[in-house]
Amino acid sequence: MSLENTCEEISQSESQVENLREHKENGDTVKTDKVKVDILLKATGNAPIMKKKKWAVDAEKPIGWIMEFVKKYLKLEPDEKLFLYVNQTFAPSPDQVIKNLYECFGTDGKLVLHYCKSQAWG
Amino acid sequence: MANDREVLREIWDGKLPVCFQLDQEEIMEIQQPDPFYVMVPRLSYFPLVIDKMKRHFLRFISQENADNEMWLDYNGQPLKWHYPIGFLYDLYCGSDPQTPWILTVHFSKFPENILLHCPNKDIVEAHYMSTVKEADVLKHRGQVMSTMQKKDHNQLWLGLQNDKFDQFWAINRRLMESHGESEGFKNIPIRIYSEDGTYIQRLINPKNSDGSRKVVQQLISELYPENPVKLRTHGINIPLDTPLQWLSEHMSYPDNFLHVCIC
Amino acid sequence: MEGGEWRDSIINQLRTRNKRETSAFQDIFTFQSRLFDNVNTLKNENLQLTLLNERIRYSNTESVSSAGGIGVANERIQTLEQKVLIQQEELTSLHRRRGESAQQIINLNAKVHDLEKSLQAKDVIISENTALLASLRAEIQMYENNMTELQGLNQVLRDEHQALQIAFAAIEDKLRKAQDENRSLVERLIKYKAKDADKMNEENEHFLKKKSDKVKKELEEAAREGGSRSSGGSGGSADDKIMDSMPYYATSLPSKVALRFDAHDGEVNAVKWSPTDRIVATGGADRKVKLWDVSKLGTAEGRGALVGSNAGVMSVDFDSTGAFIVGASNDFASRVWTVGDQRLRRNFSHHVAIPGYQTVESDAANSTELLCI
Repeated sequence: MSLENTCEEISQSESQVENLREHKENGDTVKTDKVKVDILLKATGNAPIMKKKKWAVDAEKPIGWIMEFVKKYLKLEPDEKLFLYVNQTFAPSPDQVIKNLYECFGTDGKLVLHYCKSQAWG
Repeated sequence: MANDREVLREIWDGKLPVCFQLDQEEIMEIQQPDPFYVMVPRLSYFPLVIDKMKRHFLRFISQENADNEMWLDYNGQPLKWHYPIGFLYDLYCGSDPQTPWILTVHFSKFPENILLHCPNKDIVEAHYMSTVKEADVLKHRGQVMSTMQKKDHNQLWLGLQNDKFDQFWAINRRLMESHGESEGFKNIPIRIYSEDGTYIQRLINPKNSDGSRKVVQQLISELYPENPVKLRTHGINIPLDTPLQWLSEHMSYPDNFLHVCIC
Repeated sequence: MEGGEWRDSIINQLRTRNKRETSAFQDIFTFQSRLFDNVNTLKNENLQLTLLNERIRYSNTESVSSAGGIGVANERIQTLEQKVLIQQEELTSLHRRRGESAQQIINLNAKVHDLEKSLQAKDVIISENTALLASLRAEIQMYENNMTELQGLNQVLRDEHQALQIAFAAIEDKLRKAQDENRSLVERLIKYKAKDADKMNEENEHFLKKKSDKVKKELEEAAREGGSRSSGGSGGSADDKIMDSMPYYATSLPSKVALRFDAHDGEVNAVKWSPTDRIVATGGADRKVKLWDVSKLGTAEGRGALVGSNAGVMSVDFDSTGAFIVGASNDFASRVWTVGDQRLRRNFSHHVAIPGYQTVESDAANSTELLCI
């Protein structure tokens, strides 16, 4: 339980940092949408399973942010790699925005992402 | 079916004149390095065309930076290597064409938060194949790529890397065939970029609700109902009555996506 | 392939884009990259050469400062210098030879060039000559053809000439023969005429002789009468002599018909020759008197028909001048026509039918006296 709470705290603080960063990068022209997108993280191969799989993420965040978040959540070493897949078919570029992926590949109101420590689907 | 060979050829043969200049602050030699001029294919990616240029400039920088990753910028804007070269040009100087396109080469102060790292060419290939698969999911539910063999995937990448039109299109034509019995793709893979570089990607049906072919004008009114915009890709303005299906078949980049700027 | 304005617009924009971006710079950039590569290779070579240079110099200085004494080093230097001299001399001689060969090459090239030019000129002349030859041959052929034609013509003419000559000879013969015949005929004619003349002369002489004899005899008789009548026996012979001295003409009976022609539709009752012209008048049962011209041998041309009789004409006659014709017919009348214009002039009616009559006319043109019998 406490682990989950700390994880949530970490995610929220990170999202705040990300917000600030976005402000710094893009100026005030970008409106940080408070719209959230539900994502479901599924483990593949020999990747450890996350305790909390469902998350609500800010729609404007890039996938890379999720990758970093999962890495920290799973406490991976810095030299270990993490791969995220959509539709069990392709690995999106880390700077792709969640909203775009959700609009295109979301099912039943959420976006399903598979993660693993090695290349699974090329 | 992408059978308008003339258009495909004109798109494929597009080349941009680029002038690479070394960042002034990084020059360690007394002698100024000559700027490096090269014609780069619009459809290719920067990491595939910069080998010779890198060798040329390595002599002029301090040795401690020699092993750093090289990155490029235009007018202070770092260039994302995983976008096609022609598209980057359209995005940053589409409204104000520059010939030659003058870019600055850096070996230090890599902008971690903006650019992805590209240590070798395999990363470029992986990124490219992933994008092709994503497009295939949108067009055919991923069925075409999954039924292709690994050697076909390789041929696709090699055709692009070595500028071989026929080799590339022998495989790519399969990705341009219609999905199932309906005429056309399930959805059109398209990314529409604003001037700041962000883009939207949505499910776009190539047919209207009455079964007719959707044209660019209808797409614009769907996505930007308040202020009608114009779309630009491959350095040209897209006529408003172009059918989306045809556009996707003929004017997609090699990664099977339409990269379109608003202007 | 789809059409439409949008496709044309797209193609045109792509083409202008390519022209603007690509073709304008393509050549310059490739050229520049080539120059770049050349510069780099040259720089590398330069670098290597300088390094080599450095190394040599370094090794030189090394060898100089090394142990072994200056004398040895000097010797080495001398031998090396000599070697260098020899090499340099060889080098210069080789350079000179190369220059000479280059010069030779240039000369030979020039010669080859000239020879080629003269060869070309000769080729041109040859081709001209062959053309000329061909044209002359063609002319010869033409002349030969002409000649054969002319010979043929000549032959034909000769044959004709021969034929004509033969004909001429034949005709000459004929002419000669004819002339001979003519001559012989003329001779005969002359002979006959002479004979006739002689005969006439003889006859005349005879007659005269007879006359003179007669006169003589009469004189003699007269003289004799006065003297004596002694003759008696020569009377008979005198008659014979008289008979013999009478001129007579040859008589002959007509044996052959000279001309036969149909004169009338029916019977021909009367015929009369004209005293002046060669005209024959015939009267027939067809109540006409017809005139016939027999001046031409063998033909009788109809000259006209004198009409007016109401019955068959039984008798016709001319007047002595041949200007009038009278005709008597069974219609109890006689009529007179002029021959020249064939017009009826007189019409006499008789009391009794007269089958025929003989006329005796006077000389006066306008008045005729007829004697009817």
